[in-house]
Amino acid sequence: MITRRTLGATIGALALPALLSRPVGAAEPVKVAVGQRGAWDTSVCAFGDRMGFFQEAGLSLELLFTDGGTETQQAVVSGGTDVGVGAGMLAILGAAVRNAPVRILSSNFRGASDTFWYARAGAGIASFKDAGGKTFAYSTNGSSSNLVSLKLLQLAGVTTAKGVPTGNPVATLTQVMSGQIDIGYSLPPIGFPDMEAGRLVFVGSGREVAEFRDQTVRCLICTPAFVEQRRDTATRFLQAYHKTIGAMYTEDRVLDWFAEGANATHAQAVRARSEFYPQSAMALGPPGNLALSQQQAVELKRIPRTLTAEQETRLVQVPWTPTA
Amino acid sequence: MRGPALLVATVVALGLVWEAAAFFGWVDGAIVPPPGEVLAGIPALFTDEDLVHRFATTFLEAFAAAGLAASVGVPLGLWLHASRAAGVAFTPWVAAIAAAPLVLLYPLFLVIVGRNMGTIILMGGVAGLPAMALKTKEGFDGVPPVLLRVARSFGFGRWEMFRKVLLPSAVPTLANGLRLALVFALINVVGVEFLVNFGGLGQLIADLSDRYELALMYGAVLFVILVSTVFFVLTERLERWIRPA
Repeated sequence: MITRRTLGATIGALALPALLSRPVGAAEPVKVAVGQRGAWDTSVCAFGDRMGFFQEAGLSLELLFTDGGTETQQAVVSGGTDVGVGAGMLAILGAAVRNAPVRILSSNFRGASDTFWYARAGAGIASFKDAGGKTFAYSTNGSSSNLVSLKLLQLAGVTTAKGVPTGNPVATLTQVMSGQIDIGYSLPPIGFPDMEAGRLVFVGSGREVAEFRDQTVRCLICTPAFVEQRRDTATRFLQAYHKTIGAMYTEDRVLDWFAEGANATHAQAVRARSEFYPQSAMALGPPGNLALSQQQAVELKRIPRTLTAEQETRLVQVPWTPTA
Repeated sequence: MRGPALLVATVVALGLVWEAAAFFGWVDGAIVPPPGEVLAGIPALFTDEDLVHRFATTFLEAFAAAGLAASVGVPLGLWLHASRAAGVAFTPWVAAIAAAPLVLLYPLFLVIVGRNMGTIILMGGVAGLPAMALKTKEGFDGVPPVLLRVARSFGFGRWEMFRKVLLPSAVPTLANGLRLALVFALINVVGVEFLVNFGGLGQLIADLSDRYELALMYGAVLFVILVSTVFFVLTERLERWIRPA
């Protein structure tokens, strides 16, 4: 017969391991929207999570992947996620000038070294100088690829090329291979296999535009509540993020993960990192050359006017910057 | 209260609730702009965003897509009605296609047709086709047998039977089919314009969303609703015109 005492002891014995295994301080959840899954600079959270850096900082990341563009920003503005990775600067300015609830947590990528353009082999296009009368691709109107391609054409002295917003790099590759677009754009390593096989030729890269080198083109963004009410969490997030960036340039296993995610070879991953994603471009801190970004946003009619000093102060809320 | 008055009163009441929600801060005006702001932005759609041209583009694309759906869907529906074997074999498949999210096939259409209006019209047409075919079959299947027997007793031939009995009886259902085809075509036309960043109102909505011009974006959405309303009025008039007295 089961007595009340036996029953109590049994329940106690069963409950004890559960009580003992409960963490002293549970990890704090942080919801993160990540644009362009598989790209090197937007994979920091995934790699850091895999290496345990965010857990060490007491954070539990919930990653939500978006198609990039303004989708990442919309996820943050709606309050669906705390942080957004890889949000385009011009889109952020558009939201900020209309007082949308979004803040810049840090610069995410400076310059345009990651974006390159290519054409089909045999199409007679070896550089942007040959782009006269041709169609060239960029992701969306007002995107960094839009800005850089216009600058590259200007540097080449070409005025008769026609820009076409073609969406993501994979869709663009399809349109180039089927002959609908003459010059496609891409982010490494998409297009590398076709270039190695001689089906595509390299036309130009954002590295050639010196004036954009220090300009932040993509940011880490967050909700006002995240940086204002959870400032300590935001700081720990950035510290773990920074630690991950360091590991991405020293640990080979990260290259394997990147290659696996991007369906590329190890060699292609190495080339992507060394040629297209310099570590300096990924440095955290306040956005670089915000004045130039605002000027471009006005020229492209993304914003009616530059931000007021108050709007700028409210927008840029970087809680932590790594020391050199 | 009469129908139109009730409709206007409802729209105005909803608008006031929306305006109040933004005014009292129940919704964030930066995310959901109040109706006053949306209406105030409409002139800018005409002056800065080429609205007339975009409206006409979407209207014509949807019209062409519905025309395509009708020109293929009506003969297809007739065949499903006339051939028992075809009806049994293919009707469930056509119904299944009607329920499929065909808009997801846009990358395939982009490669086949190219990045042009053809892709948008074709995708809209394909989306409207099943509704047109199914309604055509339903319309002709539903002709009362007594009418057919009377026509036969008068010695009507095939063509006379079609023209004087089958078609007039099926017109109301055919008109419903055309209306549904237009709706499906319009949804897909605007959706594909949005996705491929090409064309009329769909592209405008995508562009305004990218620029965070939310008040203007909602204004553009109102014009998509206007296109739909115009189509409904047109099909209603068309039905009244061809329906037997």
